[in-house]
Amino acid sequence: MGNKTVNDKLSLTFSALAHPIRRAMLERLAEGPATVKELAEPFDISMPAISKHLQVLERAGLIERGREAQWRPAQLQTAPLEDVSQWLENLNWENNLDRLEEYLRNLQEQKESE
Amino acid sequence: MMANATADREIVVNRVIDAPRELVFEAFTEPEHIEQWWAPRKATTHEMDVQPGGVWRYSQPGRGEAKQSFKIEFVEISRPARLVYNYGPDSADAPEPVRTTVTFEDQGGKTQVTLQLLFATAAAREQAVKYGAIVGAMQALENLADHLAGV
Repeated sequence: MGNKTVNDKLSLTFSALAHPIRRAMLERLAEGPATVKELAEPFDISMPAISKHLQVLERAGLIERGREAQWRPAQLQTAPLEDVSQWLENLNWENNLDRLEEYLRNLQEQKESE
Repeated sequence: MMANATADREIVVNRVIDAPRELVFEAFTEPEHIEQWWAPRKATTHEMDVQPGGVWRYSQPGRGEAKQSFKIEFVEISRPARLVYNYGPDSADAPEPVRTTVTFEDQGGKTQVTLQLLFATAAAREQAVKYGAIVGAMQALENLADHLAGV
């Protein structure tokens, strides 16, 4: 077991989602690809700040951008979202215990009726 | 009970389940049981070795095509009272595993199950607690994006 790194894939996704501007950008991208200019429009922050947020999203694999030119549209990538949501689902023990309870109830009812 | 040294890294959940302790313990350790209830979507066991140092490896389908794999490494098995394991995604770039202690207490034929999830850091615990809602919202996004990609 190596050092405690915060650079694992899940942690990268979590920190990318931590900022409201980045979440708003993802929301916009869920509707379809958008250019940097379009993504910047709703926010009153500088272009360098915008492009920093985009870099964080890109590093986390949440967006993909055209390689050749800066202005090419960014596109939402959903795989990292699926990874974190599945991880959180697995850690949600209130839900897990609901399922365990139901499973054992059915199992015992089945045995009784046999 | 107040000043607990690990309080900022742990989540504790408990429930009284209407089933005998032996059966509840089995539900955590036998593949034919655990596959049915563990995961939000049905789990497939790749390896199950219930002894200290042994592992349960399983995968479950994601919503898309991706299949995700997880790993439990057993640390302590005290049938039918206590189970300790490390839990995490089964991949090279996984975060530090979550040390999980499950205790099973007999309550007149019912069983009180208590889970203590101990995260490597307070930040990791916070991710699991606070981000639930955010990720829920993001999941809705993902569904929307998938839907739009399909039309």
